[in-house]
Amino acid sequence: MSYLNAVRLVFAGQFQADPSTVNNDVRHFDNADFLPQYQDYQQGAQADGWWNPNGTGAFRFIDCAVCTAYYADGTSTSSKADDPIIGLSVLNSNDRSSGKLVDLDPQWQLASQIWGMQVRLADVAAQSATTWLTSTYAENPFRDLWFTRTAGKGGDGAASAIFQSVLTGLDWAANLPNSRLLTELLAATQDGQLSIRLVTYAYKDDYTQSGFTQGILAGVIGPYLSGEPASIVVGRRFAPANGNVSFQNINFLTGNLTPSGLLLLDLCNALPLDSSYNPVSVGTLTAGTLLSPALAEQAPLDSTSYQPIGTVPYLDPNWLLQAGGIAAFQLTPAQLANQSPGSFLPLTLASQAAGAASPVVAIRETANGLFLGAEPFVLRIDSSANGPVTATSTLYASAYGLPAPGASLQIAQTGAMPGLGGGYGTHQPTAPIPVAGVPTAALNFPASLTAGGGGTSVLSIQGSPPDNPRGYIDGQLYNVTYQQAAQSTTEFGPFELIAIHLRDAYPVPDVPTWTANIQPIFAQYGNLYPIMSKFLVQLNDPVSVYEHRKLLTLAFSLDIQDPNYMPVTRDLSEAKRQTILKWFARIDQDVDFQRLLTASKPRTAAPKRVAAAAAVATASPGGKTTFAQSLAKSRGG
Amino acid sequence: MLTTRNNVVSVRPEIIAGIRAAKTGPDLYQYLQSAIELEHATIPPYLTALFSIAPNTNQAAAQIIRSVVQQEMLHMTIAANVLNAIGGAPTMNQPGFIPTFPGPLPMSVDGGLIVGLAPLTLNLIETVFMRIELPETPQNFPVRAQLVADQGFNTIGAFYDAIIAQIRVLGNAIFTGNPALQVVDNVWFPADQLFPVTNADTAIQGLTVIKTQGEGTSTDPLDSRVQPAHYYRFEEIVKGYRLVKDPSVEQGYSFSGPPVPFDPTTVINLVSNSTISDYEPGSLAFAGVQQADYIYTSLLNALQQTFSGNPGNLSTTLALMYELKLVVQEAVVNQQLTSGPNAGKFAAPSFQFTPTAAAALAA
Repeated sequence: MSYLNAVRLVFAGQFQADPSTVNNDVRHFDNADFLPQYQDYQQGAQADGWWNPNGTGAFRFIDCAVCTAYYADGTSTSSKADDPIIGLSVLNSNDRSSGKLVDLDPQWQLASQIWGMQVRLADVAAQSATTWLTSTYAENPFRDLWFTRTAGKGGDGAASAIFQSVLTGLDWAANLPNSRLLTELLAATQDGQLSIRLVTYAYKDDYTQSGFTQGILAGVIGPYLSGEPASIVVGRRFAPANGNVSFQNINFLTGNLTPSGLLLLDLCNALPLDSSYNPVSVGTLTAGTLLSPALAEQAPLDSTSYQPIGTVPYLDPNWLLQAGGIAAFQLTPAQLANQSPGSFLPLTLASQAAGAASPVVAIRETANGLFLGAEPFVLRIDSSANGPVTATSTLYASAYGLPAPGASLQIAQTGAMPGLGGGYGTHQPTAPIPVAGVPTAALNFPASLTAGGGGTSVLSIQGSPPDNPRGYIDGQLYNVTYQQAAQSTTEFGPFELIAIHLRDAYPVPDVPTWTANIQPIFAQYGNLYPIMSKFLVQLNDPVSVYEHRKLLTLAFSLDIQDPNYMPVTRDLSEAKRQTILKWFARIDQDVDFQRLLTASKPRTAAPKRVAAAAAVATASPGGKTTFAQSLAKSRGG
Repeated sequence: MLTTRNNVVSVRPEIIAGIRAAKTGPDLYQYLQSAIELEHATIPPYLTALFSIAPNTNQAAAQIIRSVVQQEMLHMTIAANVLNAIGGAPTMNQPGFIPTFPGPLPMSVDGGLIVGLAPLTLNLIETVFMRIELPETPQNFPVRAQLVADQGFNTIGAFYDAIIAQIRVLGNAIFTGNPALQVVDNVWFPADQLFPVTNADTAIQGLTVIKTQGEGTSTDPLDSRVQPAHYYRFEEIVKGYRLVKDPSVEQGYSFSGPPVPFDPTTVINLVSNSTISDYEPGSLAFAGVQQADYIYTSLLNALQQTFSGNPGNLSTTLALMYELKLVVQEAVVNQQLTSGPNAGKFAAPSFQFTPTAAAALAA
């Protein structure tokens, strides 16, 4: 199944994520109550613009290189002499703007997507680079986000997540070097795509410290197989007993058992880390079959209840980066006997601390190996006064990694979610936090479905105008959960659901005007993205907007997958975007606007901002961390 | 007669001679490639000065410099169009395309003007920027007129004059290039400034745009759009007023327009002639400079694509200019160095050819 394949390459390095954080607090979207200080860095207990108010939204690979090649026959190498793909740089575009990391909505910051990113494999020397492959990274949100991964770190610095996607538009160099990995990869991959997985952790969110906005990236590229989802492994799903993290702080993870009996477990985003970002020891860690399928976490194991398959070498130096955190085992016939159609038993990881009498269940596969995944699981729906608008997501039902046709699926809205996406500290904004998830009547979908022949089912969600329930911010944010009827909710991670931004119906005016239509939209963007105002165009200022009208028209006309698409946040409804373009096309006929241009006084200089010297920085509570806390509180009632 | 020439740009006489001796289109290729390099070479110094202007300060000066940079990009485009039109192939994404700073501009004589990367001062404008853009017959500077009359002293304008003259001589026959390579994007530049170059007339028209935008004509400091040529635009910053038509004076123009105030105290004190080795690996300044250089290199790659058969790529290229601006202002010029010879100064992009956002370049 995709990157969990015998043939794969592992790459590692760093990533940079530079999100703007003024939009982390939903109340900053209220133009009427916006204060200039919300564009400042946080100071002490005063959150203001949080930890990165000048963020550009950019997401980049930094210093990534291929470290290991795994071949179809189970062998591998980390030596360039064996395979010229070792040491190859994994880069982004060298002739376009960088990709952008984008949240769906301030009231759902837990499914960030990377838009407009290219991935290149290139042989880089000091003064030149030879590109082997150029490709486009398909935008898919990250999964299995968790906040307690790293000891001794707080906030987003302790967080970790998986990005799984596909590389499309593969453009291979005409003369590729003789690389065995490349030959095998090209032979195995289908549909002109490759499968790619990133795990991101060790993020630094303190703007005064070295490495700010950067973190560690552990990557894998493998073949894409026809018919598979791009962003999920429909495989062997391991779930913590409490639906959050296991008793040893191990996160959700997924494995794949290939038709040839190779078991691959992706532990890259699952194992807890110490403050140096190395795996915490949980003793000897093995993977195996639970012969007593009802055993829960922490249960002791013996030869009657547990059939070991192999030891996970997770404490090997740099295993997360060198092996991509993937543990691979070729099953013996005796082991396969318990992992075959008709005889499947749950898999488990077992840990045995030094001196312990027996191993215990560390984290195990879901009951009966059931899994249900959804793709896409982030939806942007522009509602319309002309009737319901449909968006779809495909549900993938499986049992022990095999499709489960006929499975009974349950889908539900979470309903009202108060308190999402607020802030922290002193001098908080006075605007109210809108209640998310209502009116539920604006979303319509079947409460139950039956998985079809391939174990899949298409979920159609119809969105109707929610009628601006949130007031100062467009549309509404909804959560839709899914499961196989026989499953329990603890088999799903806390953010493992479909998130929907349902935009308000907005009739495109015949004659848009600055005052009625454009200014409210632009004022909001101008407030939320100071990087724009400071260095490019002041969206609140008619003179600046007029001066940059050509640039803005271009930026608002781009395809949403273009890295220069505006708005960066991709949260603008199509109707509003059309309205903006329509207005720009007739900007000289907007009489009131033209009057504002001539009446405009010279801009007064903003108060001098002292260039950033070493500042006293308090530990950031973190953007995603704070949001997750608001969600937990919201769910707790 | 003044003999000190080290404060002006003088194109090497053998280049002018070489142009005049060209008999075929291919004979002109190297000179047009040099023209592209020359127009590009001014961009890093101008951008460095621009990046040293703190937000919301010295706005008139910033607008002037920014407008000049935009036109240098136009000039690069025009020169590349001419080269493509006569069957040549512009090359922009090689390490040698970016000059070393400090150093002479491409094609210039030894001992001539040395151009570096430095924060904005009036002195920088007077002694470097205005020297780069020096017209053959600058107005209001009698002492300069003597200088240029000196034998063997060729301004950049004279260089373009020579190419224009030789194109006239060689005529339409040398225009064998593929018209599909012409870059014309009138979102960014109006049609009377950027247009397809397909024959001698259009090539001469384009090169004339470069010349008049850079230095004006011998009689008129304003270009066809009634905007002062670069030389005079920079002089506006020095004089502190915009240049406008003024019938009350003999020259017909005077620096009596709206004020161009300049406050040197708000200029960011950037590291001069920045190179990546000025910054400590692992520091925020190092990461920022490297990132900026990578974006700049990507910009050159994008330009290369644009001029190699993807004319529609100009927008992507210019979007990289914006990304460069954001990264420089957000992650480079706000990083103050705390140790070493540049302690107290702020980081600046080094405009070095950087094929990856990665490991440090040569020690």
